[in-house]
Parts: sequence; C-alpha cells; structure tokens
Amino acid sequence: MRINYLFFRVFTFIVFFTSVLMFLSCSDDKKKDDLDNEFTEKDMNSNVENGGHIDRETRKIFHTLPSPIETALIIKHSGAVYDENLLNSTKNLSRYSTNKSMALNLGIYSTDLSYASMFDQTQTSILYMATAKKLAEKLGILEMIDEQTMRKLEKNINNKDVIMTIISESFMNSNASLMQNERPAVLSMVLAGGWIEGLYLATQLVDVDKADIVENDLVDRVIDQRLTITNLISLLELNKDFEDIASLLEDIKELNASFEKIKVEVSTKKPLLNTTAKIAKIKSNIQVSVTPEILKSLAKRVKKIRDKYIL
Amino acid sequence: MKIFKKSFLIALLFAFSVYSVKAQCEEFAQSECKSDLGNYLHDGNYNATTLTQGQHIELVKTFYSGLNHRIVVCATNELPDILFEVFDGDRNLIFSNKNEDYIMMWDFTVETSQQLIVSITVPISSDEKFAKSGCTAVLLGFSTGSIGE
Repeated sequence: MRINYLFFRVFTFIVFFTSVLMFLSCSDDKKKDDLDNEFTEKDMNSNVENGGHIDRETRKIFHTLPSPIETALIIKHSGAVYDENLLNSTKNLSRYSTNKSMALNLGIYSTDLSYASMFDQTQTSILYMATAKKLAEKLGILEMIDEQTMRKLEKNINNKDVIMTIISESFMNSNASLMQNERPAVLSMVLAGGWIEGLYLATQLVDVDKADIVENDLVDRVIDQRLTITNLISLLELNKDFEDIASLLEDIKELNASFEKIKVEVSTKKPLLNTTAKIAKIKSNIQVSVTPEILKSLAKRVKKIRDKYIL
Repeated sequence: MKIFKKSFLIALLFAFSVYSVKAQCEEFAQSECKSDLGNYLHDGNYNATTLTQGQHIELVKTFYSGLNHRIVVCATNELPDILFEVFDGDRNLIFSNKNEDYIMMWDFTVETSQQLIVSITVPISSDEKFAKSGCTAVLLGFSTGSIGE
C-alpha cells in the first residue's frame, strides 16, 4: 500500500513535471521563434477552436542577416583583395570571458574564417576554424565544430567547395544549437558580431580617397547594408531586455545614423520581374547615392564599434 | 502497482518525445532539404520550425545583386502543399508557386540589392477535422554563376 502510494506520488510528479516541460516548450517555441533567425512574432491572435476544427491564423516574421560565408562571398565578388592585417588576431581569444565578448567574437572569427577561406588562405583558415571551435566550446556550443569536422577541413584544405560547405554547416549547427537550447541573446550577438566584422572588412578595403566610389561594387555592397541593418535592429529589439543586447543595440543605432544619410531615390514605376531571361530577374526602381564623407564616417563608426568588441 | 509502473514509463516517454520534435526538425532541414540547393551554396542560416495548418511565416532578407539566388522550401509529408510566395519590400507579389504546381524552389537574381519577403503558408484543408503539424524549412543558397545550376 505504501509502495503504491509512493508510485502514485512519483507518477503525479512526472505528470506535473511533463506538463511544466510542455508549457515551457510552448513558450520556448515562442521564444525560439523570436530567435529563429530573428523571429518577430507579429500576430499570434485569433487562435479559435470551433468544436475541434482549429481555425488558426498566425503570422510570424524572421529577419535574417547575411551569414559570414555570404558576406565573404560578397566581398570577394566585389573585386576586393585579401588583407590578413584586418583580421581579429587569434591571440585575442584569451581576452574573451563574458558571454557578450565570446558571442560577438565567435561571429567575428566566423566572418574572418570565411573571408580567409574565400581567398584560399589555407593555413589561416585552419587557424581560425580552430579558434572558432575553442570559442564555441567556451560558449557551450559543442555541436558547432567537432574533431571530425576539423579533420575533414584539414584533409580537404585545397578543395574550396568542400571548405565552404564545412563552414556553412558549422554555422548552421551553431545557429540550430543556440535556438534549440533557447539562447536567443547569444544567437543574436553571434549574428551581430559576424555582420559587424563583414562591414568592417568591406569599409576598410575601400580606399575612399583613391577609388572611384561611383559604380564601385564594393561600395555598393557597403551601402546595401543600410537594408540589412534594419533587420539587425529588429532582431536586437526582440532581446533588448538583456543588458548585453541593450548596449549593443545602442551601438548599432548609432551606426544606423550614418546609413540614414545615404540618399535613396525611389521612382514611381513598379519593379518588374523579367521572366524571359534564363533565370528570373527582379528589376528595381531604386537609385542610391553616397558621398565620400558619408563612407568615411561610416568606416570610422564601424571601426570604433568593432575595436571596442575585439579588445 | 503495474498500472503505476506503466504510467510512469508512458509519462517519461511523453516527456522525451516533446523534446525530440525540435531535434527532428533540425535533422529534417539538414538531411532532407539541403540537397535541393544543388550547386548553390547554403548561406548557413537555420530557418526551420514546426508549423500547423493555418500558420504563416515570413522571412525578410536582403538579396544582393551580382549573385544568383535559390530559395528552397520544404515540409514534412504530413503537411499539405505549401503556398510559397515572394514579395518585394512594397508588398508587390513577385512570385507565387500557386500557378506553378506548388513547386518548392525558385531561382532568381536582383537588378539592385533589395529586401524581399519570402512568405510561407500552410493551408487549412476543408476536409480535415484536426489541423496537422509538421516541420517546415526555408533554405537560401547563392552562387556567383559558375557554381549555380
């Protein structure tokens, strides 16, 4: 009888515990959705059950940022050169001990790794992959890069396609792990760090005093970030209750002030889709122009923010 | 006594299954969807979640000029055909798979870099009494032309 009572109590506890887990899971899903690459839940209303027939209208928004690998490809495709001096030194790794510094610099090192790999810098790629692995482990993201991945990287060091795939998979593992473990603030800081580093590299690689900034692909990609920074702000706004995010958000908003000086003209003509081409092409009604002064101010602000995060 | 033991095990299994759903969704995105990107390089972002019929998600992203882009949408078998649309920043409809036999991928380029909205809707079936749920993933790939299919 006493044993039965004991089992009854254990069973009650399990049922209660499971219910709590389910509840947390549901709210975690909401949190996760907020994070899932920047989920903004806009409208979760009208969950109406009609006699078992669920009439559910929901709308959620993901705001995505360019990944480190996309950033690196954009930089290379713009005709930029490789400059190893611009990378965050791997010697700085020991400096990072807080969640914020580790998360931001995991993003920064991921972009540096992608940039080095895109320019076939094999030894640097291995070094930065190993550094990203250590930092990810310090952050508790054991799934990002395992020993097998490191061996695969070393084995295929001269095969760029394989290396790019490894980096892409590592980044996806890291994102998925942070989402599954409900770590939205850390995830958003990793993404922010990667984006800041990409912008830092691009702005440092443009010599505003010497280069023609009109019809300059790299300059165009820099000013394209005026679009992406709005996604980053939306992402950070979701987690601004975290102290680390609040201060990061301030820096990004300050940076956005420079982007807002860029002149954007939109014609009244609607954009069209050219379907006659082999691949569909979305035409545009936007004209953007920037002055050397704005670019210099942007480069200065990005450097100031990035320097603060790497030291 | 036996009933309590069984109930105990059932409760444990139930608790475990709640958490395995999330991991399955990631596994699904990794193993079942990535191959549809073909020679396009996956950007590495993880956009996957469990959706129920009637739910709608949007993904806002800057697509850069000079690259070829591929969007791949995939969903687990229990879900009906997914409505996949692309809008520009002013909500002009650019692409819908509704008239394309619900094709789950689209390749395109942009004349100038711009924000696009990838919209995914899991429709409600009128003949279903209960809404079904399943994993849905949106993967984005790009190429510079030489590696794209």
